[in-house]
Amino acid sequence: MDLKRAIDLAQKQTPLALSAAEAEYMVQEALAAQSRISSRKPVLGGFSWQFVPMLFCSAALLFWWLWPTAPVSEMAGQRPAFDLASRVAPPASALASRLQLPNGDEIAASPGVHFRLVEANANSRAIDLSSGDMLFSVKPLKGDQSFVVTAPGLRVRVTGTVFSVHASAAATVVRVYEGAVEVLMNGNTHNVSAGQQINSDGLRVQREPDALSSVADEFVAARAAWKSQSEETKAAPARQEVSQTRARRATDPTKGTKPVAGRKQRTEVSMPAESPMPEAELTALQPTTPEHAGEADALRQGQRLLAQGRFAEAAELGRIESLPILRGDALRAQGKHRAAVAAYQQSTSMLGTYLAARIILSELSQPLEALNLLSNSPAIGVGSPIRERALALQMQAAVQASQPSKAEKIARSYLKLFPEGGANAFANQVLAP
Amino acid sequence: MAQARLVSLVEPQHLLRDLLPKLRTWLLRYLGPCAVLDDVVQDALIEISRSLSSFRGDSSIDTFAYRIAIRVASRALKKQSRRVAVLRLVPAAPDTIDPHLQLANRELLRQLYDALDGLPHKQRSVFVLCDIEEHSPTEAAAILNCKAATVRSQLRRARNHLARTLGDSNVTWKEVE
Repeated sequence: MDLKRAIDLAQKQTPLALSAAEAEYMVQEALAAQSRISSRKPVLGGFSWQFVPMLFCSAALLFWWLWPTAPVSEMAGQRPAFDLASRVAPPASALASRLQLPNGDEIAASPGVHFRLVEANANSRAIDLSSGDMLFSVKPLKGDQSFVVTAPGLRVRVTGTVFSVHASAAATVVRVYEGAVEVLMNGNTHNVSAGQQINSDGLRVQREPDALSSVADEFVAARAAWKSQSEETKAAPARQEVSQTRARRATDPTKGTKPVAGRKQRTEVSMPAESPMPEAELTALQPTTPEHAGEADALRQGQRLLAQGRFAEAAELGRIESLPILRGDALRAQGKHRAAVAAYQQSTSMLGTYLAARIILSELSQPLEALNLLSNSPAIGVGSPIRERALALQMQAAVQASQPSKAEKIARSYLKLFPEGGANAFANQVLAP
Repeated sequence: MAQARLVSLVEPQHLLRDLLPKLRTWLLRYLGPCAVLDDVVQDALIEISRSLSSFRGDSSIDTFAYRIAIRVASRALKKQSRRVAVLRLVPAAPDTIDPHLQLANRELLRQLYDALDGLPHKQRSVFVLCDIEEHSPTEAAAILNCKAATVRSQLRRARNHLARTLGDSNVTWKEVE
């Protein structure tokens, strides 16, 4: 087709001629229409109906902004009250939505948090946090109860503590305000104490303030009040029972001795069997420096559990808080001697070695093993705070292992170092012809 | 501003009377042969008479009227108000005495405006202004209220589309400045 020619034809086309009357009619009609339009009264004082959809959209947006967000309502199980005031001036802590579970646990969530309540029953509570900040105040768990928070890259097991979890695309951070939590990430377990925080890369630093710090402080204060109240109501009868038990032991001559039969012995000797070790001794030897303040708290809590006879909980607490001596005491009280020895030997302190050797000797009746353990231990070295006890135990082990020369050597050292020691009589018996 | 003062002095009916023939020619070239041409012209006249009070004199009154006419024509095309061409209304060109040639010319025009119907309104306006009305890109840009570069690019696209649609790849287009 010839496009150029078509364009020429289009240029040359002219409309049909109008008569003068027709042209005048069209002009007058246009002017009349214009005057009709300009004389039309405005509807509703000039209100333009074109703005109606815009107004409707604005109202919908305002309503959507003012209405509470969906995840919070899912958490609470009911729609929160319509609160305009908190939306207008939103301080960070005021925007945190709080929820109290039936067992007294408290949860606070920052706005826009996304999480899923995986499990929520009397024994097991599990929360899957996708993004946002959540703060948990969990009452101490009993028996097989568990409280687990899963966030991107890590998993937090709780025993009874106040902690927060921040999850975002960049990192996941666990902050502990009170007690301690066990964080599982990349196949490793990290125990994070109060005042510390750990992120999903495994970096552990001093806790930094976050959006929910003020709420956390309230939770900690509430827990302190709850603890003092529960201690007054629960600990008093337990302490009374323990003191009664100790009084019965002190007056009962059959308790505290363990006869060793079927072994060659030169002398009938016995060491007092103390179970568990005196609290004063434990607290003196456990770390109580400020950076281990969380451990000291956990240790005191564990001792309370031992005094109340809640050995399983104490053992679990010792495992989670990395307190092997507490765990060993709890296992020993449960009669699990071999497990107690293993727990004691996990301790890097000389007290752990001493306690392990004591169980091996008295409960497992393996004096040779106890002797070897003590011989290589710093517990009998110079400067050891438990040197006197360790030497006495080593001497007893040597006697029971039928190694008289070694026993005599230890007895001489003992008498020389501790002329006023509690095992002097036993040392003299060893050295007697 | 002088233009605006001049327009304010002239009676509107005189102005519309002068504009009417031009409007009919412009709109015929824009829409092609159609039965509703005078309806669109009437709409354009009403729109111009309404807008005269807002004329600021930034351009000539013809450019102002042309701009309104194109807007009204585009609106009419969007409403699909353009009906099937009634070719009887189109007078034969003076040199077309041969009835076969006259029929061929009408067929050519029909094909051209059918192809223009397939163009976006902006490209159609640019093509009509630059290649049928023979305005420069700058003048077309003033009428369409856009940049001259936009006019050039739109014109290039319209030409390519028409050449492709009508199967005339050898056409030589007029150079645009």
